[in-house]
Amino acid sequence: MRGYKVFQMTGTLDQVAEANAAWVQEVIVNGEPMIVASDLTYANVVGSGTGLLEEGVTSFGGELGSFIEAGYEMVTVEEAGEVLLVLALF
Amino acid sequence: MTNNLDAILKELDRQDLHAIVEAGIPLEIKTQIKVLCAAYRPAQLEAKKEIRSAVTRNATVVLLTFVSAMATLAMQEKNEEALDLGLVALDLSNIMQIDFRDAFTHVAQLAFAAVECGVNPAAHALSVIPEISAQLLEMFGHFKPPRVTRNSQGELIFVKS
Repeated sequence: MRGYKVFQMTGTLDQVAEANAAWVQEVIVNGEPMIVASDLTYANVVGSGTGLLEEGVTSFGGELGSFIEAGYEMVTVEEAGEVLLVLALF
Repeated sequence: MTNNLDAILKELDRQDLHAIVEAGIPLEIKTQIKVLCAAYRPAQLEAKKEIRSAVTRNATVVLLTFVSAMATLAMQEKNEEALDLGLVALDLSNIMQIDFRDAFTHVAQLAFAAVECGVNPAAHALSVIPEISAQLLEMFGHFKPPRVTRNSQGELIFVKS
């Protein structure tokens, strides 16, 4: 699928948290689709609850919450024989 | 890796994560993690890699909960042994490879506890985890102090997010 972005950066907690939140906002504002690259398990979504975007979930879980709150829906898409989980606006 | 370590890692994988995160780690599981850390810390690089490769995503969550418990103990009792166990468990957890963003809180707790123990966080992390990544070392060097409060017994505890 075209148009997906991966959040990558290093720095202090504040720098990373701010950049991560800005990255999520940019994707939402642009209405871009996202490939969900991790399995939707308790460990991945809730984990030990130390994510940057939202309290009580992982960073991945916080991102998912932000996209769903913005109206994104999760669908499966088959591409080149691979089934992808995609978050998109419809 | 010995059968014993393999059995411990499988036991960690079977834990009820919700119960662990909400209520803490049962004493027998803490004891098993300490055995695991004691075997992991002095192991050679290849052996460490082999052990880490057997850490499942569920086991990572249990290990990170253990990291917080050890950081709390180290902070409360200025207990360097607990601090070292927390550092070893953090390395063992693979969290830096899974999602480094989720490591900030645990690093901050350990670094704060290190200061309470009277040691330099980054230098001490390097001494316990000699092969520490530059990124993790930087996180220890520039940690943001975690929020701390007191429980009903007057002991210092980290504020749970």
